[in-house]
Parts: sequence; structure tokens; C-alpha cells
Amino acid sequence: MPRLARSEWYDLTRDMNWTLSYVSDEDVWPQDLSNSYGIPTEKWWGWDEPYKITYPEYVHNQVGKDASVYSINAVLSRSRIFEELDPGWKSAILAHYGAIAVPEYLAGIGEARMGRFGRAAAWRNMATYGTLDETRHGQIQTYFPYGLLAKEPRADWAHKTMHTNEWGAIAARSLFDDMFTANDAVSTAIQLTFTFETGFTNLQFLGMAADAMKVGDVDFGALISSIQTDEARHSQQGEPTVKILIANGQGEVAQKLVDHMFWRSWHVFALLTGLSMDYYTPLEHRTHSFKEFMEELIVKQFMDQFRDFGLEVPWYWKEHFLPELDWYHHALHLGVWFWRPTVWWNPDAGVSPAEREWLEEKYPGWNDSFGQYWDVITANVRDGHPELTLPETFPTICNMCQIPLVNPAGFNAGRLAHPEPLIVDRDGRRLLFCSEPCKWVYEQNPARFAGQLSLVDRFLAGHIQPPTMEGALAYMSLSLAEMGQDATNYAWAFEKQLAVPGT
Amino acid sequence: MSAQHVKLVGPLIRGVDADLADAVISAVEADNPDAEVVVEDQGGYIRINVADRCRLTRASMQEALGQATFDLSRLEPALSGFAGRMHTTDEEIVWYLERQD
Repeated sequence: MPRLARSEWYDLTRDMNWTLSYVSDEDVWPQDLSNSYGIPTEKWWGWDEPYKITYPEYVHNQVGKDASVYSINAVLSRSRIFEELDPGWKSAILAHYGAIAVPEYLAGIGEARMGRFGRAAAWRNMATYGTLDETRHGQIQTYFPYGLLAKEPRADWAHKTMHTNEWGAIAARSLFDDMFTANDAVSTAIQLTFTFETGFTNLQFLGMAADAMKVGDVDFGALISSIQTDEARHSQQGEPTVKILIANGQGEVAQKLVDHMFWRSWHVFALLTGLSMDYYTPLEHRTHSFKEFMEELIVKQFMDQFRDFGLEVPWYWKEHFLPELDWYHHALHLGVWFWRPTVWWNPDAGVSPAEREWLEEKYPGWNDSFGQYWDVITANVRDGHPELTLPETFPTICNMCQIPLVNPAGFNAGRLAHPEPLIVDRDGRRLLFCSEPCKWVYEQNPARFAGQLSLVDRFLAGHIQPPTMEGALAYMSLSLAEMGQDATNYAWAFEKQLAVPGT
Repeated sequence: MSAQHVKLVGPLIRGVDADLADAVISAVEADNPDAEVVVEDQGGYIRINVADRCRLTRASMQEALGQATFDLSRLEPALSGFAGRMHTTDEEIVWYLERQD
């Protein structure tokens, strides 16, 4: 029997929209779960996904993807590859699993919400695949680190992190709750699939895959690049949703949703990907700097796509975003290394003489701005006083991104006009923000963020007992064996300057 | 965006699927005869891009792979990303960008 071409039956099987008569639209698609932004029901029926797939194709592909990735893992887990990986790289993958694995399951909640409350049948169909995708990503990214437990007990943080109040976990949860766990279906399509998955997941899952192959971590490289093949498909739920908003006079809404989530994603991924690429990946295996990957995958590839719909770069692009590419993650790295007992991986200082030379080449001026802090730290370590490089107090934390403020470092680097945080007093509460865009996100919808307490807010409210650094570490579920230490036991501080020819 | 800003579009193929990437490169070259095909091997992924519009047909993929049939949906396990927007039919995938500025 001749097989029908897919296009001859595709629309029929994936589209089943009808006018409701027994119940109201509001009963079926409540605004809280699916914000229509005032666009009538029938207008949503024009929703048409650019990346098409049928259920038989989906199942066939996914089985093959898993068979391939799990078989690579089965072979490599019997080798000594993991033991022989660079300590900094191990930190990068432990940070990745903790920050990403369980949020994949949470993304499954967001996809499932679109699968039920998406405003067109075609959309609900795509989101159903997305739900299965994210379940796969949760399973596979908890399974791989599970296999590492005998070699690295902190691989446990793949599962544990999101169930703790570790500060990075609070920041990641705040971002992901805002983006999908506690978001309506329409906004999720713009903020999760369009903004985050078309943009920032490429950075972590493709950029880090590039580095992984150079490092020789084929296991991790095969894993994350396979995950990204799912993302490339289900992220395409964003485009038709944006098109319907724009066609129905709601382009401004789409723009705001993007501006909001682009900034929040940027901050968390500067923390995760920025440190991994520019400090934790061994120097000889770095493909590009973090800034170069940002320029390739975000500033160029993502923005070209995004502007193609008639959206514009976010309002903070030139004044706030582009300048941060030069300094923000360097400042975060200093803070994370200093507060290393508060993270579940071993931060790699990554500032040996050769690495500093690379940083200066990729970020001209790095030595004058950030190098001076590391000079003091290096001198303390060399003098046998590593205790002087450890924290005794708490940082100030931004009430939007939940990431410690590093504004003074940005100011000293000549990139910020002021070292102070931005202050908003509201309803008897004083809120501190690291940046104009973080403050702007808050001011768009203060009620949405009213219950959000930063780690310092929790400390001041008496949630952390005893109110000491030890109490805070216990609150963050970090035992002595789990607290981060310098990844190479300070080897970088004792490396000699590179010989300069002719001297 | 400046006039010199070239908008590259097209697939990013997983590095572990390098064999398929070779076939995609041949097919993209055949399907975009007047365009320069930019190939950047980043190890973990291989960027195969063309300025503004990149076509990939089922017929060229079959030819490049030496297979009698190759449904374009079979590309997905290797397609870890793409630049530009996408349009799919039974016979071809087109990645494209339209905005002129």
C-alpha cells in the first residue's frame, strides 16, 4: 500500500480546535494559567509550528537518541576517563548537574501546562512532545551523575541542589519558577521556549559541548548535545506564539516578556556558563571565551532570529547588557571563589600566570581591573595564609536575580557609574537591586515578587539559626565534606611566570 | 544592525554525528549552488551556514548518503541547533531570515 506523504495528513491529525458550547473559554483556559492578552480564541487557531514532527517520528527519533547516548555512557563509565579529567572541568559538570538536572523536570511542568492550556491544538501537540523531552532530560541528567557517585559523592547534588536553600539553588529556582514553574502557558511560550531555549540553552548545551569534546569528556558532550536536539525542536513553540501576539496588536507584550526573561537568564547563565568557560575549563582546551560564545550564539544568532519577527533588542542592550559582557562574570567568579564553602563544587581559581595572560588577551584590561584582587589573594596563599582568602561575612544579594551584588568590582573596572546597589522602598520593605534591568523587572510586577526572600532577607528574618556563617552553611545543606574548596589546592598560586624571551 | 552584518542561517550538527554532518555539508552545497557555505567545526557541534537562506532537500541528502530514502525528520537526532527561522515540508527544510536591517 503506498504511504501517504506526511503533509497529506499532518494538519488533520494535529489540529482539533472547536468552539466550546457547554463551558466558557475562561473555564477551560483560565487567565492565570493561560493569559490570552485579550486575543480572541479563534485567532489562536492560526498557530502553526515551523518545526513539524509526528508522533511516530518522535518516538522513533527519541529511542535512537537515548540508545546512542546511554550506550556511550555505558562504555565510558567503565573507563578511567572521569578520574583523569581536569579538576576544574569536574567542577563545571558538577555545577551543571546541580543547576540543571531537576529544573529539567520543572520545565516538564511548564511544557505540560502548555500541553493542557496552550490556546491551539497544534501548540498543545508540540508541548506534549516538549513534556516528554523535559522528562527525558531530567532522567538522563540525574542518571549520568548517579553513575559517578562512587567516584565523586557530590554528583549527588544533581538531585539534591534544588531541594536545598543553597544560594545558587535559590537563584536558579527564582529564575525557573518565574519562567515556567509558576508561569502561564502563553508567557511560558515566550519566556521559556523563545527567550531561554532559543537563546541561553545553546550557550550552555552547545558551547559547553564544544569544550567537552576538546577536554575529552565525550560522555558529557554527547549527552548535552543530544538534549539540545530536543530543545531545537520544542523551542519552536515560541515563534508562532510571538507571531500571534504581534499580529493581534500585542507586540509590546511580547517585547516586555522577552526583555524581562532575557535579563534574568543572562544573570544566572553568566554565573553558570561564564565561570565554567573562562575559569574552570582547562586553558589548553578552551574553544572560545565566554564572551565569544555569547557573541556567536546570543548577540548574533539569537538576536538575528528575534529581530526577524519585528521585535527589537531589549531596552537595556547597549547601556547595561553589552558592557556586562566584559566584567560581570569575572566579578561573580571572584565572589564564588571567595565564598567557595557555599557552593557544591570546587571553584577553580583559574588564574595561573598563563591563564591570566589568556584572560588579558580575551578581556583587555582584565589584569588592571580583576588581576589586582587576585594579586592580593595569591600573595596571601603564598605566604601561607589561605584563611585570609575565606569569608567571614555575608554578601549583599539582589532582590531580583538573587545573586550577590558585585557592583563595586564593576565600578572599579570602570564599567559602572556607581558602586552602590539600587534601592526601592515599598510596603515597609527595603529592596536592593544589582542593576537597572533587575529593578525594572521588579517594578513591572511587584506583587509577583512580593513573597520572594533573598538569603540575606531570610537571615534577617531569623530563618537561619544560629545566625552565623556556620548556621548559614547548615541552612544551605552544606556539610564540611560537601563545601567547595579550591579545585587544585592552590597550585595556580605557585606556578611560575612564563619565561619572557630575551629576559 | 550594520549593512556589513551577514546573517548566517542553517543547521548546527552534533560533533558526535560527524558522518551525517559530512552528508549535510554536501547536500547544502548542492542545494545552494550560488552561495558560499560556511562550515565551522567546533568539536561539539559543526556549524553549516549560508547567508540569509539555506536550503536542504531530501533528494540531496539521499544522494549524499547514498541511500534510496531519507526522511528529513531523521535529521533531528543530529540537529542540535540551527541559526535563523525554519520552514519544513516533505521535500526540504529551509532556514531563513527576512528582516533587511
